[in-house]
Amino acid sequence: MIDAILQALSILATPEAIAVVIVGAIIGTLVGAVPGLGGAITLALLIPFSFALDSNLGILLLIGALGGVNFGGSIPSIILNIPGTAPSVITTIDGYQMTKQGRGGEALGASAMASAAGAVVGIVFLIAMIPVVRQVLLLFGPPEFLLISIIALVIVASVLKGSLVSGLIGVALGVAFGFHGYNSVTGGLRFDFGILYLYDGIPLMLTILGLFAISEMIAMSRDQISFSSDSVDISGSPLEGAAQAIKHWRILLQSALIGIIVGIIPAIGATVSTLIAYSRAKAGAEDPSTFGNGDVRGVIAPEGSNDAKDGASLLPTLAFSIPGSPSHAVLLGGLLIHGVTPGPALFDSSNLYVVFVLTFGLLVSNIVTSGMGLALANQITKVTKVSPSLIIPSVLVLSTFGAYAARGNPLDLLLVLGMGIFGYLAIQANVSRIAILFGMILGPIIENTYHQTLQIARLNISRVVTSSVLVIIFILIVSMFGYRYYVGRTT
Amino acid sequence: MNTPKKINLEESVLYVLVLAYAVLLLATMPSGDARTVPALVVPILLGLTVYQLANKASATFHERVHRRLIHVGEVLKGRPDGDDGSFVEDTDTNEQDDDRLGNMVTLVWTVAGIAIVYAIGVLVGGFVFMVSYIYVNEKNVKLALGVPILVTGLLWVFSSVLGIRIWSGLIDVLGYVVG
Repeated sequence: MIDAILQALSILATPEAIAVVIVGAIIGTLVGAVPGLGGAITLALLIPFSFALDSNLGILLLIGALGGVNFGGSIPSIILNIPGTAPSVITTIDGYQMTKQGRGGEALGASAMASAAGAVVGIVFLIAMIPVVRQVLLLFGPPEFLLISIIALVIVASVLKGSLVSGLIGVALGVAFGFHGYNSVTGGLRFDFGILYLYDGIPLMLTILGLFAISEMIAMSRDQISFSSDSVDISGSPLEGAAQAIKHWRILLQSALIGIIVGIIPAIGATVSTLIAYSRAKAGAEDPSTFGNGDVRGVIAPEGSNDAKDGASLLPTLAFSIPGSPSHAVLLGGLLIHGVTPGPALFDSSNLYVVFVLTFGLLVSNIVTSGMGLALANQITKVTKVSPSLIIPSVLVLSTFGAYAARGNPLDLLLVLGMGIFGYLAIQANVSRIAILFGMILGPIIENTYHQTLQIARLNISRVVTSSVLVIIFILIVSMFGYRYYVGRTT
Repeated sequence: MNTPKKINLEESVLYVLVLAYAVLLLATMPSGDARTVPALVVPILLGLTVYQLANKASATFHERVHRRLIHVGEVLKGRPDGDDGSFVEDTDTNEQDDDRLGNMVTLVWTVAGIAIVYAIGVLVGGFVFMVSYIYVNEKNVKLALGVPILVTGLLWVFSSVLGIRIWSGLIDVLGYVVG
């Protein structure tokens, strides 16, 4: 493990790697600060461009952007009362009140420091858990991966927005998208309809670009969303806010731990963790009435939790191919495209350094982002005023260019446009696009492990029936659904 | 009581597309091991989509009938039901549906426009698209030229470094289809 850490550090210590992480962090922060865009779109847009880089640098670009998006999203929440990303909704409650009281700079400083500290806690947890995960993964075979993947899909379908039925439709649709073309189990073609283009299947990258970037722009265009163009005066010291975050370290630590717990549950996302962290901070305060009226703790709690979640979410993403949040689902797609296949092989001695490259990259990105937030808060807020009329065509052109650049195949443009329209219809119908992506990522894993499990069962049925790991997974699943049922009944 | 939300135009288009897709997969199901998992997933997709469509259609039908009955009842009783003493019109939705249809037509037109513009080449088409889109919305020549020049300039540098062909477009697509 020490070798892997040293190897990762040697990769990250090069000027190119540092530059790529910083560029990713800047792009993530700026795009995250634009209301209506977010982590999934940022990563979707960057994936094709990351192809131009060496594989390690490509994944560093993506992880750098992921680290920047959270803080970027909190900027319009605090300044304009418009959440840049979904998890930043909670930050608007006290953040915007602080801005109205002339303490916007202080709120941004508290947000930046809380983000950095939360990220450090999350990443320390991730590093501490890596040896444990390696041991756990040794106990996992095809039957265990099959079960955990199916359960992940069911959880995704049930927790994402929309009804359970529409969630299951999204998941089934995603799995079906993965059926086309060459089948690794049988070695033959299926569902290609005699079309040469479908021999390689539906490319994951084009699906991501269409479903997340293009569809969102079509929706934004149709809904004619407009944001504030008023000039905003950011007063208050960011350094004072950073000092406040350090002063309230107990709330910060508590929120980070909440972020970690929520982060390792598939697909829950940061919105839930920020809500719980805010509620806990308010419940534990001696004077809860100040929450909602510009209390800096109301900024520290959600921001610390939001960034701690990112480190923890990497764990299920990298170990089991089960993304801990929507942004991680897109990140996972990017990793797969770069040839990084999550699972036991990634935690093997020869590949473990990739896990540390991602971990350290996320850490550097968060520190850069927070430093940038403290130093350039006033300048970054200008991004929030960019008109959608400029954003929409620019993002459409970037995404279609990215789609074409990857393979130079003109039919890719038609596919990405089709996926964009399909994604737009999914938004309107409340069918989660994340569920479709989860299905597409986990579908092939389920199919492969299903056939491997069948072969194992034919040779030795007791291996499948008496697996203690399977029993433990079953107990966990029953407990989880039982708890959800109990909570549903009592609330 | 929680009644299911009635269906809208986009929803119905999506579910009909998914339904057609599921039927197509079902009709072209392969044999042997290649069909094992699709044979489980595709019927689930088909069943859920039919259920969702039926559920939504039923909710839409019931809501409309319910509103009509209330309206007829109010007319027969001669009792106005609006807050200001007037009869409340059936707002359900003919107008809203018309609006949505109008939006949908605009949307389809926009998407078709993007596709046609891109057909003349990713970079050139993208530039033309950006200029026209920004000018129509912002009515600002500086922005309409400045932003596209900036974006396409960056992409041109990027594509030059990577050696990506940037003039591909309609001819390639036609060649591919004909070929």
